[in-house]
Amino acid sequence: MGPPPDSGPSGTEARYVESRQEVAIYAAAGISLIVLGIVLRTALLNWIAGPAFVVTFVVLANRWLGRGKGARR
Amino acid sequence: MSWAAHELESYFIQKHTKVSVSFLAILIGCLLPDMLTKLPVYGINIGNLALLKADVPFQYHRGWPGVGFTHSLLFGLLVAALVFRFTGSREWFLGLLLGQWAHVLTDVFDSVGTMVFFPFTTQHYTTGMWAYAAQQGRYGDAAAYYSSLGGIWDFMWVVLALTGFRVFSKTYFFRTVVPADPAWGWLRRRFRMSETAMLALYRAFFLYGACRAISWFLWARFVDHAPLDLRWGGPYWVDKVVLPAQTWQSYLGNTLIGITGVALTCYLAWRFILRRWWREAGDRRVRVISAGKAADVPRAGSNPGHD
Repeated sequence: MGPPPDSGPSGTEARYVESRQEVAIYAAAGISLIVLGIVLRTALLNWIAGPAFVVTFVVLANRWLGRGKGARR
Repeated sequence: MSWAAHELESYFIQKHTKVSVSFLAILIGCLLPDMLTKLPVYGINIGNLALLKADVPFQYHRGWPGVGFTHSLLFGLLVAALVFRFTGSREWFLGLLLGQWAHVLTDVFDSVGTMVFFPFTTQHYTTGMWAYAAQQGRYGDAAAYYSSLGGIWDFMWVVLALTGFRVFSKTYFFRTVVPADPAWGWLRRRFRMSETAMLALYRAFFLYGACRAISWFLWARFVDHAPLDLRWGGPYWVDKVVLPAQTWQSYLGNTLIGITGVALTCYLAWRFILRRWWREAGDRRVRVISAGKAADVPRAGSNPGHD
């Protein structure tokens, strides 16, 4: 017998649920990119450094907040 | 030229393409024409020295002679076909083609436009919606672009990408984007990427594109104090590049030659080369799936219980 309908997402589904913390990390990455972009201009606003900054920021923030381990496989 | 649209349109294309297609290929296709050509447009500035700078940026970037052929439909077909030959991936072929063609058509909107039908004609196609001002240097160009309809164009792509916000969800990424493209598995193994990092890489180009547009727009308004001019062909205050006027007869003649040449080349390439590769790619996939199924089924005469 499967779980009752209102018992929350299954294990597989739970992996795909976006937590508020994750959304906040992306928002913080975006705000940092905008502010640093205005100050530093070209350094962060090119197509290699910009996305690399986002990935580094998100991975480090997740690791720092203790969520990286859970997501790593 | 478009500043952030090329990153953002890749998500829009991914969402609206009904067949299986690689997101990474769309993204690389969208970036490809400028990836190969943008550096000499502005040059590298060290103090008062400008290194590697093209003498006439618009001619170099969009014209012929120059590297303007990178902004043509057949260049996209050529690159996609070469990648198809070496990878045998239909998803990458389609993705590169769609992405590069989207870039070519998006750049039609500035005052220089692109040689869409090169090499059959070097005719530029342009709507003149905003000024091409790369000759003003990176900051001059940024100020002009984000003070004109070009900036609005970028924000329109942000909104279009956000209207399909589901493409940014984890579910969409892991159930649609990753299965369509073996490159994600390769990235994961080669660079030991976590799921968090893969998802961040997927979303990064949207965040970068949107933030870049906001950042340059704010810089143009509050740091550079460039006047906003949202009229067609603006901004009025920049010395923009405008191509010499042509007669309608010459324009229509070139267009007819261009459309016929490109359509015929695409047909011949498909008829004699791509169709065979497409079939081979399908056969390869069937063999892989069959081999996978055969590995799951015990051979006749074997006794799984004693293995």
